[in-house]
Amino acid sequence: MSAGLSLEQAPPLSVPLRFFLSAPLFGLAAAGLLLWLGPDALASRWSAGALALTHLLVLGVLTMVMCGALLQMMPVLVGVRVARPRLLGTLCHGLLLLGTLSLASGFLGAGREAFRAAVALLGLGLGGFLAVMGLGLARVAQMQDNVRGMRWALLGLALTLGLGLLLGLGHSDLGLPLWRLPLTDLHLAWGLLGWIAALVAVVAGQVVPMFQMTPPYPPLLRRWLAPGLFALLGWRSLAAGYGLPLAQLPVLLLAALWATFALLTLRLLARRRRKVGDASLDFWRLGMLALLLAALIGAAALLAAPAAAATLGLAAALLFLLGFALSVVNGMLYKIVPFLVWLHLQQRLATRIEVRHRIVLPNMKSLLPEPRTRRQFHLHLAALVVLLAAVPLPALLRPAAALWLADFALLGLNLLGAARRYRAECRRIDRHPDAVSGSPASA
Amino acid sequence: MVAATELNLDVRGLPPCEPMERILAGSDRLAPGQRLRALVSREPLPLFPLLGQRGFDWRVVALAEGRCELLIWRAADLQAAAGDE
Repeated sequence: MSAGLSLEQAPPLSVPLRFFLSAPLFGLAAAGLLLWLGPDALASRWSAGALALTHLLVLGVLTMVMCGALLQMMPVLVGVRVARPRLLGTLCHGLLLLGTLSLASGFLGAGREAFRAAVALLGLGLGGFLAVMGLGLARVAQMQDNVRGMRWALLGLALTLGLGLLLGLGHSDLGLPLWRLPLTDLHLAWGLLGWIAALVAVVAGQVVPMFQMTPPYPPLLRRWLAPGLFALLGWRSLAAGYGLPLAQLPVLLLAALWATFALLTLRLLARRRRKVGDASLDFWRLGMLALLLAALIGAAALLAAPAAAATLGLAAALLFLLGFALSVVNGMLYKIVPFLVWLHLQQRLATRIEVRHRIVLPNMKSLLPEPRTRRQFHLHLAALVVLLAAVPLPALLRPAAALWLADFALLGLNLLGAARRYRAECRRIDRHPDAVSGSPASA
Repeated sequence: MVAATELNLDVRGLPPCEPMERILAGSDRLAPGQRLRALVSREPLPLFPLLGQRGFDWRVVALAEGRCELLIWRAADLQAAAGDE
């Protein structure tokens, strides 16, 4: 008998769901802020609005989903044992939620106390998450590519967090200087590429072949993408810190690396075995197209004159965050959430021997109906196109913000629908006339 | 000892979670002395705890390109288990 994994190692479904359901709320907050601030929001990367918006998105939406997904999927798919998953999930979620709100309010003028609170809350929340997940990964006996990749991505998060905490302390008026320019660029590069993009690439290696039914990624890419990425980010960091020559070369190589990853994923998606598409597939395609464009425009920004470089840099950043990272996270959620609901329902039914053969559970596809997810994809695409058009035409920023509001609201409603369906099915199992009253599996 | 008979299932190319659904349904249909041989595109790790909870034992035979073959039998069925030796 194969060494099987135990679902008991994974937290109850309510743990990842609270992360997944919180993410659209932060998206709504970010879109609401953009609507309120209007064209001033993106006038400069240093503006209070731009900084608050960015952190609401990267911490409140992207990191929120990624932490929730890792807590649940690592035990199920990789075999990582997470100590006290329910406690860790509850603490990490609460601290990340409050820390992100404190940080955004600090940027919006709430003062040094807000930054101090953000440093403590995010340091504890993400630091604790990193410690427990790192320990779990260190104990995995089988060194597969996905385990190696996860370690690199968590290292990326650790470096981003460390740099972010230093910047936060600088804002906290505790006597530490605010090394804004050098640290912000490093924090940004490690956060976007070393954490978010690295984790997407690792997870893609697992979920794209599994859920989109494509051939696997080439072993060479799965083995060397993360080390190559970290070598280039390290080179870039040292070159920037010590004023070394050829400081722009690693940036161009990073752009080439991610353009290659995007093209390869698009090729794999075109070769999928199942020809019928769905919204999740379209989110992945859009995400990869946006990543390719972000890499090309980001590289062009390096070579352009300063005035054009700022505009190109903003377009590349928007394409990366909202076009690539958010689209892919959306596409993953639309597969991971129904998969987890199905898995937990099966587990619950397995423990109720008396009704096991009398109840037919819904299949995965019916848990998140395609027309609803398709509608949200169309809203998401429209929001992205209008936002990109707002780069040269700032008057379009408010219409773009309104579309983002609708996009996040529909995402939240879709996820809430799957959560409600889970509760309804649990009740159907527990209240079946043949069910023996007793304690069912925890929800 | 009478050799175990087998129920064969090929679930390659099916979208998640259909392979797991069909394997669970096939396992439930196993007659005494019978075992299920399922061909899958990739090792379905989340399936194993579900099989264990339902009282089945299993063995995984790795094939080329990540594909594998699962052999599944009722844990208490000595005849089906012996067919694996």
